[in-house]
Amino acid sequence: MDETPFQMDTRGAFSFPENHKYDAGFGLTEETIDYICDVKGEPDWLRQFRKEALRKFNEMPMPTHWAPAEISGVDFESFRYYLSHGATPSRSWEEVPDDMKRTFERLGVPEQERAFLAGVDAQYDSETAYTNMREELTKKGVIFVNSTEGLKEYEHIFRPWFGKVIPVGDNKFSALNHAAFSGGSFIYVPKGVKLAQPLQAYFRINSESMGQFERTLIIADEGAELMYMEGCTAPQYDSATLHSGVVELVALKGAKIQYVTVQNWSTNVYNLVIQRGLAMEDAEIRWIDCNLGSGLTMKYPAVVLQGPRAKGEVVSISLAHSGQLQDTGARMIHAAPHTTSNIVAKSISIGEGRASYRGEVNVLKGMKGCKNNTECDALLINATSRTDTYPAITVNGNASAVQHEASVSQVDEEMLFYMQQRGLTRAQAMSLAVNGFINDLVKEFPMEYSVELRRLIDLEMEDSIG
Amino acid sequence: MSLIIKNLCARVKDGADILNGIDLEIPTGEVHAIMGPNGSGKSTLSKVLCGHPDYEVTGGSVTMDGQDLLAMSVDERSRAGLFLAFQYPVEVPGVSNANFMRAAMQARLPKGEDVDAVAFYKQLRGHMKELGMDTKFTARAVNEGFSGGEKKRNDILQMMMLQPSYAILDETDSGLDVDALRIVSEGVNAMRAPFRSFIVITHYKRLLDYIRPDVVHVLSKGKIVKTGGFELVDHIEAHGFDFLKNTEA
Amino acid sequence: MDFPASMSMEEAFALAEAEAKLNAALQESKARFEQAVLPNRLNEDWRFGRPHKYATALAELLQSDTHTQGEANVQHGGDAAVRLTAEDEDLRQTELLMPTIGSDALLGLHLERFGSGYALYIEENTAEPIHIHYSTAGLYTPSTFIMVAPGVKAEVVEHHEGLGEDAGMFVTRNIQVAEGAELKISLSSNNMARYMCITNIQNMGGAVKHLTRHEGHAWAREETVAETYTEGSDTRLFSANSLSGDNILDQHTRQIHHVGGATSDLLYKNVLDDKSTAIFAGNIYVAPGAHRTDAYQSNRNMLLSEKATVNSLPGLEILADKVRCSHGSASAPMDEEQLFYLLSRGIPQYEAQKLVARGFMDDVLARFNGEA
Repeated sequence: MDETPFQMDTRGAFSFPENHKYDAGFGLTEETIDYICDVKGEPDWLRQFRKEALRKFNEMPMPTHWAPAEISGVDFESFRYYLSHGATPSRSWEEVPDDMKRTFERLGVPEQERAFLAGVDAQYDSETAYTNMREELTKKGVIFVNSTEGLKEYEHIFRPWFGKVIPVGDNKFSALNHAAFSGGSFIYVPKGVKLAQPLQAYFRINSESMGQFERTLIIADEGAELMYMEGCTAPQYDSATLHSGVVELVALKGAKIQYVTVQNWSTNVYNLVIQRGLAMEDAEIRWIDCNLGSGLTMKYPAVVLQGPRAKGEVVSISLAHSGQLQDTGARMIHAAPHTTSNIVAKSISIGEGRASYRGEVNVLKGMKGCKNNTECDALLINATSRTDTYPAITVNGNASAVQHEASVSQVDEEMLFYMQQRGLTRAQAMSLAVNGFINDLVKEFPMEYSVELRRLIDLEMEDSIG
Repeated sequence: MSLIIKNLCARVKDGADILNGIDLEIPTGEVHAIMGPNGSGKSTLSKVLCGHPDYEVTGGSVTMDGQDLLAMSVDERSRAGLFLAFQYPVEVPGVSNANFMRAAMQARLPKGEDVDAVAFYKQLRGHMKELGMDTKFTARAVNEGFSGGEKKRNDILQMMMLQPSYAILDETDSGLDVDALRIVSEGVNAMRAPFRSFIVITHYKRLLDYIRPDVVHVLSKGKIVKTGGFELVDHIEAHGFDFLKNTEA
Repeated sequence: MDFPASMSMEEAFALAEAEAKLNAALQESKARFEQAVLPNRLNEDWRFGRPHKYATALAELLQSDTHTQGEANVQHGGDAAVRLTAEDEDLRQTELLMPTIGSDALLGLHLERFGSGYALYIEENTAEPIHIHYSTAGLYTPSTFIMVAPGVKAEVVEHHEGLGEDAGMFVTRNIQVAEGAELKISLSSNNMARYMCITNIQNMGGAVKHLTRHEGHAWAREETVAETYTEGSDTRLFSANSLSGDNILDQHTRQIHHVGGATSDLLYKNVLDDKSTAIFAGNIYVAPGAHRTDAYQSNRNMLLSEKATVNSLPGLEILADKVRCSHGSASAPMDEEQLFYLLSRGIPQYEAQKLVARGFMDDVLARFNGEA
């Protein structure tokens, strides 16, 4: 049963009774913010900063140019904005409270940590339950802590970049996160340090009506390299859960960051996440993004190509079954000459599922030698499935080239017949065909993830066809 | 033990009749050739036997070793021992040859049993060598970007792996050069056995020179109009299908 | 309602039902104009279109100066051509029901000035192309109606011309093509301070080729909605435009497949020089149940100047099965290899560039003319 280290589907469908010391209650007001700041023991500047963000959040309209209509279903009053056991994470699994420890054990997190990770950050509702990193990395000056600790202990590195990649007023959800953020990782990799193994974060929502607002900032100093992976699960509840994280990446000159997400929230979760990276001269940022879960996901990882010759890439897989809208895509802002970007997105819609690609490619004024290539392919499994493509491409000047291609297709009946003639059932044939469709992208995920991804797709196909 | 086709009638779904009462008996161990002009229904017959969704059977019966073939789904027929080497093998993007074959073999095992990976690869490589296929084909997606001849070989490779009781070769010779034709035919001949039958559908004698049939049938307008020995092949090679006009009169 | 005595009960019921449907649609449409607000920044269909500047200015002009100022002429029209008057209630209703792409409020203002332009009822093959010509030095708001009867082959050439520095035109066009009919229609417009054209093509089983060419406008907006109502319909939309100076061309298209088994194809190309801007926002919508649809969309832009800007938004919304759909968008400078090839044959730089740009556009015309 436990051959693969990652079990993120059926394994995530459990919960423990709530056992929180701190609960800020429903809705977000100045009092909620005071409560969060008090529990976390935050400095005054941050308290004021959060309150300013709250004002912006209340003022700003829901996004229109950049959102599906379904987003109007989000009721901000119906969530609980802070739930925790305390704001200090443990450094060893022994110290983690029992139900949390059992949760992460069932999800296989400690096992993976031993097997192949450089460090782990495990978040349970609003706060990090556990953070640890291999000893030798600490010696090299690598910092891997949660965001609260990052702001406290490493303010001189954290604060200059905090809210710089994704400003408070970027959009309503960015303002929301700035007001209510808790948890998430702060990572700093010093000049020239290259991490051989990935760092991993695991986000777990346990409680009903939870709002999780993690905040991650990753800074790769000149020439540094790292890979960061995040996984997400939650139990299914009748009421809605909100996950609205903000992830900022900064890749300084010549640095490389790869950020891998495998999102498998339960379908009562609104997954409204902002992810954006800043790539300086010769730096490289890759988002490798896979969305399988949640009821509504809106997620468009972005790279601002800020330095000459910077590279950005988004590799995106999404799978939408009945009751799901995966509104995913990518954004590439070419703000320096000779920058290149690449977007490959594949989506699969099953049953009454809907997958939309939304993208932006913008070559700003005065740029030369910029290149973008975008490919979106959608696969429709049933007659009731839906897919959309909404790209927005802006090119200024005559010295850059941008190309976008999209296609929509179904699984070819002749192909299914061929496979069935060799003895595979229709569900097995469909499963192979779908795996084949995304095969080139699955290869981009780390081995442990790709094995699990294929297994999840098999399960999905058996459910919908078998 | 045999494949018995009685008065089989079929048409394109909601369309024209193509098979108009086929009667054929193929006893196990024999090789039967089916020849006929374009549009006579040769390829339709092979697809109908395998259960292709584009066609519907409007009458008749087919039994394979006593089982009612027409009552079975496409994959059940395959697992029961029926194999079709396609006239145009289909490309399956992103799915490697090895994974595909393994899945097909796995589908034949009882629940709980797994394909022995070491034995599987040994067998696969062995057969590929026989067919003169480069082993790099194991990792390539099924038929994707293969030449016409490579696709045909790949289908024969699958036949060798799956060891069917009844194999239909639908114009396997088309698109093959002389060397490839010889290699593929040798592969087929090596599989001839008292417990296995072949139905070889072709236009030309050249394939039948390599794979010598026991019985030859001529199909015209959806019916078997003539059955005989190899002399029939020679006759068609020399005079074409013109003689059909007389038989109809 | 009166029914002719010769009409059967079934026919009478069908007619009554059709009338009830139309009334409901008209009610809905009226509600649409009551609710409509002038285009603003939050309107997705005016993204990049700077509505606060251009839509607002056009609306103000339409409201402040309600006189028709322009000339309408027709050539080779024969019996088919009928001059439009304000009393033409059926056609007014057609305009009332026509879809826009984010410009309902502007259409409402156009309706208030309804009553100039031409209707073409084409019931016989056209021996020569019918020419419609609108021109103005002020602000002109004509309407064009074209109906092609079943099995009829027709060719129409439309020209919208600006005659002075401040010329402006806002044209609506309704084109209906019946089963088995063929319509080849080109529209060229030029030299206006502001130009707007809303077109609705309803294809009921015919073959339509539609070409637009806009040149020399300070600001031009095209909204073209091509609807497919009958299986077997074939709609092909083309556009080829050369922009220079401060030209802004804002093109919006929708290919709507209400039923399956039909084809639509779009090819829009622009060559941009100087400080010009092109916006292309296209959408293919395949309704639930419109299975076996083939729909394609391609937007290609050639940028010749470092100050030129392209915004391309090619969209797809697919809600049906067994659909073949694709779209592509490419924006790039002139191909260096092509240019080099011409230079190597001794053609001077300026001429070579002109030739390559022209080849890029001529491809569209060749396809429209069925030569490629």
